[in-house]
Amino acid sequence: MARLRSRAALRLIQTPSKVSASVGAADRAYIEALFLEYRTSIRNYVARMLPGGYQEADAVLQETYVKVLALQDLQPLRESPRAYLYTVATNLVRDGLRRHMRRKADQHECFEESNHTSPDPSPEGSAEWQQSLQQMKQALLRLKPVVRKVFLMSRFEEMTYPEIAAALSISTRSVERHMSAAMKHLQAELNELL
Amino acid sequence: MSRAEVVDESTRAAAADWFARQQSAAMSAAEIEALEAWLQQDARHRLAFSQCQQLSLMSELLSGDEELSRELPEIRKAVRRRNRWRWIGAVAATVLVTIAALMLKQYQTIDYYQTGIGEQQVVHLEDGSTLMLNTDSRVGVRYRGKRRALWLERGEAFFMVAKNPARPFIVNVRESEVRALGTAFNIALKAGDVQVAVTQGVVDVQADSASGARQQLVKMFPGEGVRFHAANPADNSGVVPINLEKVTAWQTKRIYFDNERLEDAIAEYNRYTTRKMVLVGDTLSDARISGVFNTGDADALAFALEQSFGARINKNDQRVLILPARD
Repeated sequence: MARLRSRAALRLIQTPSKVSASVGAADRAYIEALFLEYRTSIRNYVARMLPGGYQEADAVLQETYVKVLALQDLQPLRESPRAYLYTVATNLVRDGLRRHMRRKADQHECFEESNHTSPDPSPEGSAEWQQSLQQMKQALLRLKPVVRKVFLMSRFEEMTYPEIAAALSISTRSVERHMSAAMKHLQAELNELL
Repeated sequence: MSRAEVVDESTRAAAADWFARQQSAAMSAAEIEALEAWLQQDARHRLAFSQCQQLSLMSELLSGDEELSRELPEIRKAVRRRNRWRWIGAVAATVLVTIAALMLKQYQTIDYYQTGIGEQQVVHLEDGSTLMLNTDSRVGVRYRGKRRALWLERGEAFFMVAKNPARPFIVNVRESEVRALGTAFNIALKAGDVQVAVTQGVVDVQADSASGARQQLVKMFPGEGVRFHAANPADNSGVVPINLEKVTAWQTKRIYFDNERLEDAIAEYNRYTTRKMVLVGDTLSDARISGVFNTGDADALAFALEQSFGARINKNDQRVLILPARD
């Protein structure tokens, strides 16, 4: 094979700047070290939060990495790396959950749309996800009945606070207190997931 | 992991209070500002708040659970009764919107962007996404509702997608489709082959199987690509690593040859010009070439061929002939 030397070949090619990451080599090394440290724990965390299990967790992890690489300013990351990484991952999980919910809704009303959704491993989701959901269900069942009603009316029925207040004959201020109580209860009961 | 970074109980409690307050949808401007300030104060505040949103969304996926919804039906009925008139109003509004949408749909057309041979074009789309067309390419764009639909009909394009999970960005290529969230990727349609390469984010390629059902072909991460037959996507390379510099060279008007067969290299060169280069005879077709050239710079490429292979060049305004060395 003849290795060509043309005039043009002497020019160094550069990746166009819009595609390249904005971080320097030192920052990149720092980010890579961080990911090495937290990779496994974030992956386990995300897998329990999304129906797609480890497959979906890997995509979230990858996206978290890309997002962090694209950061202009690493200062907030350096200040509290773990909290920062978990927040980025959590927000991606949140987006993922919204997608799953929309998909669920779409499947009811529009067959064509469901053709375009990426296939889940199964409609029930991964084993980790099922376990998390069961844990959440048990936690909800352990709530005081009125607190549970408030929470479920708000979440399942998309009722506003005034609507819930009217339906249960309580004040909107109480609705808010019950919502907060439900959330604290979930945080405590699902502590090991968070 | 440093223990100090784990969210403590009082932060969690504060996040739960803020979350409950926010869900009331009745926050004053001052409260919204205060919440914003609290979130900005500490990364752990943001994490605790995100986790509340996440738990709340997770719980919504339990909405089909009978045991949990058992105590809700009566409440639902009571509320529906009270809200009947509002419902009728809402239904009437929906009907109006639907009619308007149907009327719009009739006039909804696809915007086409195209380039001639040797041209390139950058198009900024209304959602903040950018698309870059390579030589002799044609892309159709139609944004409607929650769908951003594009069609690569000819040639090659690079897509930089503005992230919006609520509006999937879908590029249709013949019978397959490439889906992305916030992502950058390149698609080329060459001689019946589709080549997809990912530079950022996650990209999903779906295609119709032999039975006609749409299936995921591959899912790719940055630095990965796939090549498949447009007419038969089952005939594909699987996920393969990609030289991104090579794939994106055209964006800086360059062609990147990496141990390419000369015949293929010249075909690639010819995409960018009407003054075609013609390889005479097949003595040289299997020779290998590496190097970077400017698109449309026939002289540099011809010079390189002369130097390396002793090729003889015969050129006029219409074409450049490459003849093998006389021996």
